[in-house]
Amino acid sequence: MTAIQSANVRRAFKRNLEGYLFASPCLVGFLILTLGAMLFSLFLSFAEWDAQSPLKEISFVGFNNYREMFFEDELFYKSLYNTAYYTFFSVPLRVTIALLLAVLLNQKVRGITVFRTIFYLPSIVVGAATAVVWSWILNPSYGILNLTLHKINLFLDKIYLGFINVPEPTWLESEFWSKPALIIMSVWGLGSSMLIYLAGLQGVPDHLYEVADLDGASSLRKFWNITVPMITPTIFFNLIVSVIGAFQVFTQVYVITVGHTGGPNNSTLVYVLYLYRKAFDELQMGYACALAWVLFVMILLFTMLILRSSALWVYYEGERR
Amino acid sequence: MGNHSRPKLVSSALVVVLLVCSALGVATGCTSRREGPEKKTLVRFSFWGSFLELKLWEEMKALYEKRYPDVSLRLEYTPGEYLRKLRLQFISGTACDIIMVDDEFYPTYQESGNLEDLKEYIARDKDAFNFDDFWKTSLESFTYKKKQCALPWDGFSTLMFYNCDLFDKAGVPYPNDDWTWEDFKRLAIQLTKDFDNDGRIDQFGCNVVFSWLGLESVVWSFGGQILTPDKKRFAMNSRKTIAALQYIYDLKYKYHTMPQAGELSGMMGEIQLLTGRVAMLPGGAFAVSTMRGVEAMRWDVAHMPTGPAGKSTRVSWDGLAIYSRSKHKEKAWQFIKLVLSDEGQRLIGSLQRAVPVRKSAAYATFVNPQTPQKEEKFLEAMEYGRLTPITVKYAEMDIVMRNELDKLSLGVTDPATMVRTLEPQINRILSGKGS
Repeated sequence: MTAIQSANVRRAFKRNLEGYLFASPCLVGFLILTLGAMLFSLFLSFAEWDAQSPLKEISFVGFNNYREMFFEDELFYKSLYNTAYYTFFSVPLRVTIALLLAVLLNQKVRGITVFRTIFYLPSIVVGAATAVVWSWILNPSYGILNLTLHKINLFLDKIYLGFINVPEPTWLESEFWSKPALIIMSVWGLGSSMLIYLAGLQGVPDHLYEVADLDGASSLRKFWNITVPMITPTIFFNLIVSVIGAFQVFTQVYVITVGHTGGPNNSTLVYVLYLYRKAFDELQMGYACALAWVLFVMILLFTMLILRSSALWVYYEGERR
Repeated sequence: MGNHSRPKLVSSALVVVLLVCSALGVATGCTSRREGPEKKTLVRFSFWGSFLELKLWEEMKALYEKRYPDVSLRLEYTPGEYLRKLRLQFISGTACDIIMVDDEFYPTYQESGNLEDLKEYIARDKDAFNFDDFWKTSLESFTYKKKQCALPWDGFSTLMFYNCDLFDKAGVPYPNDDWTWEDFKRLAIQLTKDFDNDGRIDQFGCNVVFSWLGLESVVWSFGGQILTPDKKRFAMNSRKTIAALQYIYDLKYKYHTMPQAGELSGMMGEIQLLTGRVAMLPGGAFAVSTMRGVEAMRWDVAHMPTGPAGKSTRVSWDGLAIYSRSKHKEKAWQFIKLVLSDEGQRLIGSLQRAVPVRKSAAYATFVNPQTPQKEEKFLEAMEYGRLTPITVKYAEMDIVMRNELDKLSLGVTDPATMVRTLEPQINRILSGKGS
């Protein structure tokens, strides 16, 4: 009995060995570089460490970091608010605009591939480079955006509509306009969601449209009653990815805000930037790790919420209802 | 079995080949590194700065390697985010043998135990240094808790730079060195212009950065303080400090001689001056070489204006330290000695990027009679200049200060309120209870 069993185990191990061997770079990488680091950061979140002294100087402080975060730290709530604001506006905008763009780019027109390339291009550009370009577009004195707005105002004056005044915001230097500026920037880089939509759109079977045509459905109706339901899995996927991305927004904000600190007056201090500041400017690595774990839990909860809701609005063809 | 054995064999062989290849890669990498500079000791030196500093250190490296042929010096130049990189190197134990440090973060570094105490080295080589020749504030910058873990090599004082062309165009006389903050205000108002009357100011009289270090000179000359002399308590909540802050605040919001948010963005200080958008700008000695790069514009420097408590300016120093875990401490020390030698100091001064720490070299090289500007003013300012009150809590304090000064700069708070908000926060940090 045992002999047979152990022989089976040995055979199974042999059979799987090469699989493990092939996966080993990834497995070892995950165990050491990801899981190891995660557990260490979980440990650090209950400790105090200045990130430059030897590891032996790490002192355990229990739940102090978490207590301070929830009960004393105003900036924690401000960064949460900023992140929520950003997510609340940028995600719906990105999801819908990317979908509409994908629908346009799904038309059978000559040279459509050129347009597809043009709209995808921003996604290839590195985040930091994008941010630098946008910092000039948004520059209140020399930026092309405000120049255009100024020209519009001059034109309105000319045609005796001077009472209508388009605002010329100072964008990243104003507490009120800095977040909208970031949101506008985020919409620009939606190429990858658009590409996924495009794939989704091409998976919608033609016969559904043909039937609708026979019934005399308008294109708007076709879009609403065939296209949208059929690509809900794609919308669902994009939604989750965008929400996670929005919670973790960092690069653009870090590069573009004055002094890289989330100014003016912390109005662009998003969560991850705050975490970064705590870890590498204020040298409170323990606190930063605690922030990271709270973010992890928040993203987990949101993702689960969206996953749960998916039963109500996502349609899978293969599924029996 | 028979069916499976073939692909299995192939894939196993593939795995083996891959593993061997990667192992070989590692091995060859190792040997090539070992073979590098034959039998020379590799000494690493980390520093920050502009390309001008890079040029300076390249020349210094040539000098060093000529004098010590058994050493190969590797320049590890980090143009931005130097502090962050250094901290990561400290944690991972990979910092360079020679480390450039700034005075603001020096106590923090020393406390982290990563810097070698240089007291013994100095005592051993007493003849190599003539500390009487050093500027008086310089050694103090790197002395903390009776240890001296770095030696100053260069520094700067802050003066008022001004664009002569803008003064001429407005028909206003250049500032003389006895001017007061009242004179400064009058000039700033005269030099603020909206040439095309479109409601947007085209030329600002001045621009002062709303930062702790940027406002310090003004606060001091009004008789105010940032911290108490023992550096244990916050001292800005005084009538004098508030008056100084109010004065600067009014220049921006009452007289509008300074650009407000969005009025002059995306331009560095020196560029604002060089392009004629700003007429007067406080700046450190390090700005001289940048300004020198533009020949089309005439500029000069004046001492900072005098306040009710006299003249004042900020002096700051950069130091060189040895990594406590370095394996080549003696070589590193030789390098530091070279930088502080007359030859090294003259090299620093001749590039006019900063003021050499040795007075004799500073007067001999930083002052250049060929130029229209009077560089000796920077050296005069070294004598009456003061050091920022630096504590081991500098980083934490700086962030809190920045938060509040940011609000002041945006005009959403006023000096008195700001100072009152800062007081408990800074005192809590200084007392060690965290922020």
